[in-house]
Amino acid sequence: MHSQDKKVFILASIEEVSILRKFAILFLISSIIPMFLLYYIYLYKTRLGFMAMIMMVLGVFVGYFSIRSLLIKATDIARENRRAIEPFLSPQIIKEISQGENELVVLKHTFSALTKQLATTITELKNKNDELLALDQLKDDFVNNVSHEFRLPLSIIQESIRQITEGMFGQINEAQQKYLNMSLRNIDRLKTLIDIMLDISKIEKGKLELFKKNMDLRDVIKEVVSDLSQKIEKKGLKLKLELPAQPVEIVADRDKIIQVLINLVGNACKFTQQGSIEISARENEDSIECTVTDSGIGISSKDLPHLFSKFHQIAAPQEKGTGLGLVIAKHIIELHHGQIYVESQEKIGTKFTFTLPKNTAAPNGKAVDNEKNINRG
Amino acid sequence: MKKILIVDDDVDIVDLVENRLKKNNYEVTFTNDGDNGYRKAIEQKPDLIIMDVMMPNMHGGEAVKLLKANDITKNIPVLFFTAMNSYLPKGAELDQINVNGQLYPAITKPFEPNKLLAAIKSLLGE
Repeated sequence: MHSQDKKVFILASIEEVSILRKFAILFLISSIIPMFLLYYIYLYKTRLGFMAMIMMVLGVFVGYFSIRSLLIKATDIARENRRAIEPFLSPQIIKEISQGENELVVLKHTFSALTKQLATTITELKNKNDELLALDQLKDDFVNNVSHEFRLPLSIIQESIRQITEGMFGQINEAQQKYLNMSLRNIDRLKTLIDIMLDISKIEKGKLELFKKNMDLRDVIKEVVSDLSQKIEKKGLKLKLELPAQPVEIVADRDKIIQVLINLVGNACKFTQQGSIEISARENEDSIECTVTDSGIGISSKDLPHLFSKFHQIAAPQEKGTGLGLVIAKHIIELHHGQIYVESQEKIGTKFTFTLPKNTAAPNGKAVDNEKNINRG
Repeated sequence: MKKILIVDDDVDIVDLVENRLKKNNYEVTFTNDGDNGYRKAIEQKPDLIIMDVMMPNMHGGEAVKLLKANDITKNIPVLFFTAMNSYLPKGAELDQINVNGQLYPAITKPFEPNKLLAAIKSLLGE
């Protein structure tokens, strides 16, 4: 195949050269004769005229050699291209190319074949991409629908059990109360899981929206603390709050900031067997800083870098989670143009810090920050 | 004792809401579609109507349209009770629903009993 290629090329080139020779001779005759006539009639008296004549003659020869070398280069390119794309070409096209009369024709066929092939590949890829996008959308819709469909029956179960535990249908005994409370706790867990599933799906699509309002971070912290204080006290942990006397104003999505704090304080509680949990808020020069510090088991240096990655869960003695809470927390803080980071020492404790930009342009009421989150994963 | 009419085709929800409301000293009646809801509202003149959106025969929006056009029922406050979150303006201070171009108070399912009771109290001016 290879040697045959070469033969075709050489033959074509010889043929080409002979055509060119004919062309060049014709060119010479047709351009030199009028030039000499011009010279004898008008220009022979001047030195400049003679020089111009010489230049013109030289030009004709340079032209001839340029055309020739260009043609040789073109045939080289054609050969290279053909070799490179031959594996992707259909036998029909290869045959067509091989039957080309000369290398210029081969070049033409090669390029047209290449363009055709490229167009087909682009169309195929585009179709595949459309298919994948449709599938992805289907997955999102499914996650969304399933989550919503889960919630209603779950809330019916929850409310039924609540009504029983509240004694609406008569007294219940201690054991009944205990197991119904256990059910309620796990329903809450399931609800949280559904919320997390929805949040992650939104984050991945960059569709997690913020509804920012003016608020005092101290109030938000106090709300979270009152929700979790029972849990903290039950574990025998001390809770310390270090909040400034004056309001710590932020412009943020209240529910989302509560979600972050519940996650951080919840984790602190989960991983601390004795000692304390400390929550602080303060105003820096250009940001608001909030920390959650515990005296818990700490995080190993091996786990630390992966803490905000999806499905990374550190080994906890009794507690189970989804490993997604911190991923969501990080996205929420970053959507607010803040930062979240962690410092930890094993057996000594962990300190989570998040910052939020200072309240510069305060939106009135319910401004919506529709910014898409580009940072995925 | 204030009288509340629940119009919802989900019998489990109706059952639970009825318990909750009775416990909080409201008189409760219910029906399972918009058509019957409209008729019962005229018949009983409740102080408040809790209305589902997606129901067989006549949906909530249609029923409210009729109620608002009727002199007997036009002043009865309506609280929508819906699982269709997409109707609600997100992040809105008060949960509201847009029905026939007008905003009505709404509670989303799954519901929190405290939120439902608070909405009822505020609509009844209690």
